Amino acid sequence: MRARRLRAWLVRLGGVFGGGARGREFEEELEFHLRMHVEDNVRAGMTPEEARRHALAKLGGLAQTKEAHRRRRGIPLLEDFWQDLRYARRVLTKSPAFTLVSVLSLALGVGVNATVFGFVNAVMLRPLPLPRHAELVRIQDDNLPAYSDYLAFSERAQVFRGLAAYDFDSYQLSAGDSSGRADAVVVSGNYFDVLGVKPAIGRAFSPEEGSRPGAATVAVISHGLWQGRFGADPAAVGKTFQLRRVPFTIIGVAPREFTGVSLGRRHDLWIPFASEALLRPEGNRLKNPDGYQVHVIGRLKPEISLSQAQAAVEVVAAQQDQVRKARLFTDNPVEQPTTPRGVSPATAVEMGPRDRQQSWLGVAAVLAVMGLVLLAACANVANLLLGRAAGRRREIAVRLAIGASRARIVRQLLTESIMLSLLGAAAGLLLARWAGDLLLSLLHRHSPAEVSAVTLDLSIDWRMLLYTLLMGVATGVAFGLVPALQTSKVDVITDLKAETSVRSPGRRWLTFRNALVVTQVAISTLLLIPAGLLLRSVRLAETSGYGFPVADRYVAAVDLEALGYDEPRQRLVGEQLLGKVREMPNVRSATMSHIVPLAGGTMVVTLEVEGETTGQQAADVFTENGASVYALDQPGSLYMNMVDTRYFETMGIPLVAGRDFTERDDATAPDVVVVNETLARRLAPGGQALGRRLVERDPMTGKPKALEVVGVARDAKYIWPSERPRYFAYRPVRQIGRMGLGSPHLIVHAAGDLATLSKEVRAAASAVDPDLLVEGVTRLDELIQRRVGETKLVIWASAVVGALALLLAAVGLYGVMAYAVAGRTKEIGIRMALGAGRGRVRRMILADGLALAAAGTLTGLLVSAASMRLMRSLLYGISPTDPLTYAAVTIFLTAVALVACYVPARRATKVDPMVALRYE
Amino acid sequence: MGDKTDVWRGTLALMILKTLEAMGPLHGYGVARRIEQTSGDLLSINYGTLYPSLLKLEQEGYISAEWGTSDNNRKARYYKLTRAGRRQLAKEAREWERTTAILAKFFDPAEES
Repeated sequence: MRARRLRAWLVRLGGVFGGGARGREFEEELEFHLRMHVEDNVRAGMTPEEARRHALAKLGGLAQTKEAHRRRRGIPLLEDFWQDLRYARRVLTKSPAFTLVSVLSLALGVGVNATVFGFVNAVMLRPLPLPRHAELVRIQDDNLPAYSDYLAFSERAQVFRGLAAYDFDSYQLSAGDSSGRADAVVVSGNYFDVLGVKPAIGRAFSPEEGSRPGAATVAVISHGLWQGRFGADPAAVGKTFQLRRVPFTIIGVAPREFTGVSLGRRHDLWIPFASEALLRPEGNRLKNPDGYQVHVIGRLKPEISLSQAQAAVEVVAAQQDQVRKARLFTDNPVEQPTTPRGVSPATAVEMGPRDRQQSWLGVAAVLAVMGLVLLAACANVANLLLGRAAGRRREIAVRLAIGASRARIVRQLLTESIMLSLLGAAAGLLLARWAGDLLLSLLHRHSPAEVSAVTLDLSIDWRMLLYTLLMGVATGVAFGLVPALQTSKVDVITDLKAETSVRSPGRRWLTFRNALVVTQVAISTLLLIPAGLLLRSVRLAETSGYGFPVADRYVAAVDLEALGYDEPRQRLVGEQLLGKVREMPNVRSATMSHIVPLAGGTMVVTLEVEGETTGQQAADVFTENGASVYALDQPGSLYMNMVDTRYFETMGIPLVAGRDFTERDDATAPDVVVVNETLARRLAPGGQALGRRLVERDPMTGKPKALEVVGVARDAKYIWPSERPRYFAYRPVRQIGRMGLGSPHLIVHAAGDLATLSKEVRAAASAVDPDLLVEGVTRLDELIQRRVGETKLVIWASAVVGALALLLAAVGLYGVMAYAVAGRTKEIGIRMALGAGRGRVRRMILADGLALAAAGTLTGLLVSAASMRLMRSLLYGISPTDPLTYAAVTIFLTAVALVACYVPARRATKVDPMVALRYE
Repeated sequence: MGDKTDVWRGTLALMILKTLEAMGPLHGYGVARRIEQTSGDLLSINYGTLYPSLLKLEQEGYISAEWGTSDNNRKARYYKLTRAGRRQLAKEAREWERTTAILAKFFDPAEES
């Protein structure tokens, strides 16, 4: 039965495109029918005329029968649609200027949205480009599981076909006589199997090589390393190289397209966890599985859903919580860290489910802003459509007169607008592809070295297509519906009689169109104001200084951990290096610091002010002498830096009270701390902070330890050039030890040029230890610029988006004014006939246009003033209602509006009163 | 008109099939006249409604049509039952009998007791 119906539909579908042959056939059939009937009737005694009339009556009307047959032949709805499409194409190609402007407007609107979505898609949605990627999941919350958790998951959560773990590390790699830094991924033995990656040459690790401590010093190298270091030698497999003097054998070369599973990380080579035991005999995952975190990625068994996997992982995580609790002291007041347990689909970004949700909020906010641009584009096209409506009244009146229903006309007009919007969306998609690549390359140029390895796949996939398609249809309806309804509301009689296509504009239309333009201008104001505020804020922050000089300051990362020594030996190497650098002839001062201010690192510790209750702390965080302090400074936590001696001297941050750390501030000496002025004021409002105490709690036992304030340093910028004063503390690294802090930075205040200094520092490093890696020496201001550059790029991008919205508004304004001038030709003619000069006419039109622009700008400014308070925390040195920014945006908008109105105004002055009055 | 027509349409298709089975290949006019005659002129239909029904049956593959020559030597379009049409007719006839049998029970309460 169903098959029969389907067959009928297929035949009918063919009928839609079938043309007229079948129709002519049916006419013949009907003719035969009538002739037979007439003959029968005549035979029954009727006159020929009577016979024919009776036959036709019996048939139920010739036209009706033909129409019923025709509708059954094809699929009427589809036929209408097909007809609408062809009609729409004709209409659109007949007015190419209108079509072009509309499509470009929409392409801009859709383009900016699709660009943002493209990045979101690449980072958060697109599965990893690996075989059967739907099965791949990550296990992590906002923190990563410990290696022991990973072992428990892979042993007891029975939902994975395989669960792999990995982590990152950097080593000095030497092959032959060359050596250099290599970014390694330390992996579980099943890493490649779980991911489904087969080496291009050679093999992957065996399970044996993954787990037995020191079993194998084997490595799989990346395509890049293979080409760079091993000359793309097909016989590279089997060759050896050294990591930190431990020899490794190459067993495989990864395929070129496999660049790892972590966004923004360079993957030079892969080594198994087992070999870590040789590289770090003191501390490694196999020896201390609780002490090291790992990234976990797994492949689900077929038929296992995400929620089933989540349930299974949660059971194991709860067991791990119990184990952890039993091991810790019971009276620990510090909250227990819970075992990470979030299972989420594996995408490029490594993110726990909660972070992911948070990010979606951010994404939604950005897309909402970009949506404003799309709204402006829609307003533009709606405006153009309404402008054309006047010219089409006759055409539509004709169609209504010959029997088309109003619904049919609306459907036709909507088809036109959706066709426009889909064209726009397609162009926007291409635009987004191009803009995405452009942004990515700009990001590469402006971002710090550690993220330069970002490989994002921005190519167009079904998600992008679906997104733009939905946007296309939605915008088509959004900008098409009102014009379609308005246009189809025609008075057949008057419109058919109207000789000319230009009628004096109906009052109501003009108001609606004006409202659209006002909205557009308001939107561009709303986008330009924050961009202006941010730009001014960044500029202000840069000129106001950082709180320390950057001239002649140089920075180099020193990879002490990569040496694989125990802590005391690492410290010794560091001290030796520092000593050597300080002896260098051009060096005025040098220090080691874990964080370089404004260069990207942060360190947050839990420190309480002695004698403060929690309530007091919370209150303090938000008001500091009337000015608000960063809300990020949660009660009890502080930003901090671990520094070596002579840090303040080298950085040029003066101590306003007390003393610097000395070599005697070591583990055996009383615990000391240096605070900044803001923190000093909190410690002793109006008094002397020296001698006051901060309390540090042991993260494991919760035991308090008092730190005495021995110095107060001048406030500086720490994380962001445009930040407000924040609490900041310094601790002497000699007292704490470097364990687990990551690589320190060498900071040098020196005269002379970068190249020489760089060479000397490297020479000093290899004199201390041939394996000591000192990454490229960089000027401090360049380091800061790189970090700020990224932000500036984002701000400039938002300014560009604002400018695009303004461009759309300008086109809209132009359209409305041009239409108004055309509609007022007669009026202008009369005015000029009565003696109004050209200048006066021009002023009249300009004034009208500017009134619209002013209304939009004013609306935008008011909304900005009300909403920019949200941006308060992002601004430095200016208020969210900074008059200068508001004034500049207003002037800019007015100038653009003037340009947009000028052409129509000029056209108005070209009106010849004689012609205008004869016209109509 | 609505409700009546719907019921009518369903049965019209059945009548067309039955007519074609009884008479062999027939043109549209012939089918129309035949249905009227068979019903003893109790049914009076617009002949026009017949053609979409014929087309529908043709699209569903129950009947096929081809041009032929009529008794009085005119070109006419003849419809005939296909194998699928024959099967469909048998099936529908059975269903029709069942339906009428059930309805008959309702209208003839004597048999119920």
